[in-house]
Amino acid sequence: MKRCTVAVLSVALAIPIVVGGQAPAGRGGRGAGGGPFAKVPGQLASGWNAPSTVARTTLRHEWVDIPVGSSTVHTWIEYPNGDAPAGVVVVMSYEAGLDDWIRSVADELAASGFIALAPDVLTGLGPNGGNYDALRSPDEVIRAIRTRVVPEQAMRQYLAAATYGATLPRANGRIGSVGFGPGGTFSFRFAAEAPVVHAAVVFYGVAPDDATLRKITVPVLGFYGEDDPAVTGTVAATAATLQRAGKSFEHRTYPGATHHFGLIQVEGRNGPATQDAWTRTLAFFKEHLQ
Amino acid sequence: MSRTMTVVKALTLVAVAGASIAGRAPARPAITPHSTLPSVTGAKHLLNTTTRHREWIVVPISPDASVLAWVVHPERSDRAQVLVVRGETALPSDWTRAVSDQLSAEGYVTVVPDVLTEIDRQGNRQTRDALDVSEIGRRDDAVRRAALQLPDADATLRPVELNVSATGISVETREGRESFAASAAAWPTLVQYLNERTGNAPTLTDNPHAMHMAMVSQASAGAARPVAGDIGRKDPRLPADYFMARATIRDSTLKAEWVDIPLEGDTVTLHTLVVYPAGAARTGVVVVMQHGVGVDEWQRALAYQIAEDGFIAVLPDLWSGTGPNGGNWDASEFVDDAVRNAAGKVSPEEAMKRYTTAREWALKLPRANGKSASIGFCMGGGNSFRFAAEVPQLNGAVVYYGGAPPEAQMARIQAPVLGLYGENDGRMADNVAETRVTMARLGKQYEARVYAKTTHSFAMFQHIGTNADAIADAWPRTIEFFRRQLR
Repeated sequence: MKRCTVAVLSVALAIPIVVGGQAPAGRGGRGAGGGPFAKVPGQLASGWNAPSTVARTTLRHEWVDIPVGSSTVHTWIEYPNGDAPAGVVVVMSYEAGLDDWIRSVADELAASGFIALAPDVLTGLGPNGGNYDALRSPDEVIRAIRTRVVPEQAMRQYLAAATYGATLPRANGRIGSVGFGPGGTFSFRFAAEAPVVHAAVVFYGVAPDDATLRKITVPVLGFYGEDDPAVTGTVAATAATLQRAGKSFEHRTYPGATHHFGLIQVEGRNGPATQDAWTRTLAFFKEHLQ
Repeated sequence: MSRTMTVVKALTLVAVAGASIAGRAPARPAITPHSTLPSVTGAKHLLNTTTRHREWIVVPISPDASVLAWVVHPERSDRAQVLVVRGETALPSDWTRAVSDQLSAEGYVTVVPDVLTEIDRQGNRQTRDALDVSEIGRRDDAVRRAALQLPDADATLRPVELNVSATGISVETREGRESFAASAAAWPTLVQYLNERTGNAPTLTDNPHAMHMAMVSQASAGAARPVAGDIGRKDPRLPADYFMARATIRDSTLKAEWVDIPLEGDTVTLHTLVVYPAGAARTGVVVVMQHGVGVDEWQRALAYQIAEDGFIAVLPDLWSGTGPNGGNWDASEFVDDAVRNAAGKVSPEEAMKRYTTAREWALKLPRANGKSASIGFCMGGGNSFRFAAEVPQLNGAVVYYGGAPPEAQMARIQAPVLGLYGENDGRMADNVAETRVTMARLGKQYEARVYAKTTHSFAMFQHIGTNADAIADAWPRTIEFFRRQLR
């Protein structure tokens, strides 16, 4: 496993083979998809097949350092095939940073026709001024994100990436954001604070405060797992605030799905949740970014 | 009345009949209950957070079909009176199941029949809308008999029947029927009545974890807080999770080595990670059986935890020789490549041969004390269970969310088996009840726990759902089991 990056190579388990050869079925059964085999086109990779998906992508991709004030943000960009104008989507990392899984989300968006940019919020915050890659293991990434990332700076980085994306020759001028966990929280906030955004998708992220929420002018689509009370418990209040303010917020809570259902697709009902949420995400971006 | 009616209607009539009997005067109860009447809105939360062992059991009603029943076990070490609890509808509601949980808090084995949900031999489920009344009775009888066969049920005591609804709770014992208001105020009186009629006076197990969960659910109605499960930080008492595996291996100070063990009649050698506990004392050997993606970082970190807890951990790469050019798991570039490369190449028999070889090799280590056990996860859990049948000299087998072997193999098991499962794991969880019954019938030692709202790989993904609570309970049990069996 030479290509092992800081991303957790391991990931997940639970292939439905057990002695006796039963297939999973019934209440709370493990959903299809996201197993340790090849990624399904048009669907998200799981933590398992993300490393091979990113390493073997045939799409054009590059790392760029995008200026943010006096510094830069190290950003992974993937382009869709062809040369038709395309919408731009900024991908916002979860707790474990810009790992192979987050980059596989960018790959999947590009494969579905969008220019995807995944900024590294740990740019310059690693040891010796290094980036995400300078950290040795997921726990170091998680601690660095918790202790060193200033939300306002992350928002500036995401805005810089979106603005940069919009100036690309193939950009059609429409911009979206999608984030997971804390990245979902950033995506929600992005919808309120980024003047350039046209649509935002939130995977299991909490909303910003009510004053910020009322600034939202673009549609927001949120996906949550029933078995993720800390996050999902906040959705009703968020929806009520947005409804009172006359904002567009479509949200779904999937039964039997947990936090991180997109990463950990083999557990609980996470597989069906991911499939449905991702299909809706692509339709939402096609509606608003094309 | 037509002989065929919908079940819902039939049971509603029963409940109304029960409620129409004058309520028993709520005399001041002489006891302090360990429970309360759950609210309808709080029922789901209670079910999600209670730590009492609860499960769906599969009850055969014919050679081809089974029905389900919800069971909650009391936290006591002796056998308990069975209560059969029914709600207003034949499909058990969350509230009915929550009431059963609270009655179990008083020391009863409670069972809620779900006779409308049928499972065929292929495991297909079908929920019927209506059933003939006599058929309902027949299925209820089957559930009652199955409940009395539960390992902690006192089969000498006739089950007591309860009908619960928002309008009242009726209790039917040999002495007759008594009705109580469905209110928190009447609840202690109901409990006292039950205790007096059944002679129930249990010594309930002190369970700090349950007390903790009770406090948590009082503090924040709605959101259950996990005991462990902070990603980015490893609890030293628990194995590393998905996010902590790499750092755990990197930062360990334990002696670890990869060895290549010859396999009889094979040119392939068994690439095996051995991790030794600190010190020089002799100790037991634990063969660690890999989950379905092989000896990845998480699986290796798990072996380190076994050694941290005092045992020689032996983790064979079951897929030795299946990689590119006859290489091992680590010859594949990515995890999904390793899975594809190994697919179909190591038969269950070959797996047993490889693990047997690893065990025999490890027992000759200078620090081995002659005792051995196995532990496995998912696919490895199934292998661990089967290993107990394969190697009668084994001193114990721990099964994390793995399947049980066929009965003929089970019959050969000598060692105690500890099984740990997540409820949200489809048939894996459903099959536990059947395994429990079969193991009991064969006279085998099998302790099984099915953690509520817990997913399949809860030892790996500790932070999602209620998995943190599950691993916080399961791992200390695992180590206690090894200490007992490998002493």
